[in-house]
Amino acid sequence: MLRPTSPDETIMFATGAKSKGYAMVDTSRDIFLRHEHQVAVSYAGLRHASFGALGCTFEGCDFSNMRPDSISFASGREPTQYRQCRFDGSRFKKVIAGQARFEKCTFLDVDIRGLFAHSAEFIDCVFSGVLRTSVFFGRVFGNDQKDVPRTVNEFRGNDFSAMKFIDVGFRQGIDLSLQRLPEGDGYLYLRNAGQKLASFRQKYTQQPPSKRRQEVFEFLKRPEEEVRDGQVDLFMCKDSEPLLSRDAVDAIWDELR
Amino acid sequence: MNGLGNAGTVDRGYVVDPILCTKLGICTPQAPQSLGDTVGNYVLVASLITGAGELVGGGELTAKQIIENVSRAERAQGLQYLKGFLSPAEARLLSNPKMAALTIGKAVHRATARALDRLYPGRFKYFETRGMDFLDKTKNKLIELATEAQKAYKMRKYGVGPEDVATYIP
Repeated sequence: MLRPTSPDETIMFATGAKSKGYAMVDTSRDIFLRHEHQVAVSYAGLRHASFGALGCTFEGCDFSNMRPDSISFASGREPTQYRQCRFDGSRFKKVIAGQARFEKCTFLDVDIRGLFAHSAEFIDCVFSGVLRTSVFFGRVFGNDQKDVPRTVNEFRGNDFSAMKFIDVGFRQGIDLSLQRLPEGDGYLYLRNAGQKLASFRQKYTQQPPSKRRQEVFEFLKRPEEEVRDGQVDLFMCKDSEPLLSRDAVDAIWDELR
Repeated sequence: MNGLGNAGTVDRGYVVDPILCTKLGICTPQAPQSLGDTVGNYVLVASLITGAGELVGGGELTAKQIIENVSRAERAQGLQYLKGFLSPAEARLLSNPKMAALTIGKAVHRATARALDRLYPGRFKYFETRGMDFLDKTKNKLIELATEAQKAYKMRKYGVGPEDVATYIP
């Protein structure tokens, strides 16, 4: 079937024009698995189709070089487990993590965008490539709380050191000391962030009003909220500050380091 | 008897438009369970948005109705909940008046996609990039999700009718 699309929404809005094009939607190659236990099965190279799994277990399966339209690692209200699976070279754009549990999996040279791991668990996984616009949660978040008997997402032993993070966050109590994280100018790792942020705020509260003080207070909102929400150590990406100039972020980070 | 027939238990996490509830005859008024519930003060029968998607008393829900109900329930859970569907940079944009509405819309779309996948596994396909938002694979039906204010524009944009646009309250 054809799906109406528009190349540029701004132009469409200005002109009041109808859809300028159509994209072919073919669901015949979509894969959706229910309650299967698969060992050493390969889905490598899947393209132009979606992939979903409900209540499945995968052991030693190959999900490498995939370019799915969308992927649901754990669909429905049940967990799906991936043990020693390979996702190397894959690009995942529209990701639903669900109650997925990944153990000893490799995500080498991947490009993942939009991963919100509300109830997903990652144990001893190795990552490289790029991760964009994504958040990992230490506690089960949202509607998944109704389905999941546990409250905490297990998240340990993961190696992100060779991965580039673009606008990635860790929230609600992920123990960052149990992971290997990327290093560099684009990242800020604050151990015991609550204490550091409090003294930083105190310092600027005592200063007279200035542009810098305003920027500092604006900057502090999000990390302070994350600390209140249970995240003890903070990991921040410079790309995650769209409202402040790069110079302002650099100066604030230099003070916090 | 709670007026819900044998539809099952009431899911207190979902709040829907009371007018819609009354029209469908499937809801019972409840006291607000939390601050997030104050939007409607009504709870939705779990089976409305779960299981086979059948209305209490018969009649199958259309894809538009399902998406509309789910998106409204997701939006009604409040901003703090929706922040869970935003990256750190996107969450920052909520404090920018020019970007806030767009950012909330993005969160509602993602939350709806996740909720549909949770409640109707394998049935809906979500297209986050340009074009109509959801495909109901069982009916081969495309549905656009928009605010009420955007509805006419979206219909014009895609050349579709009102039955193809599900709306939520921003």
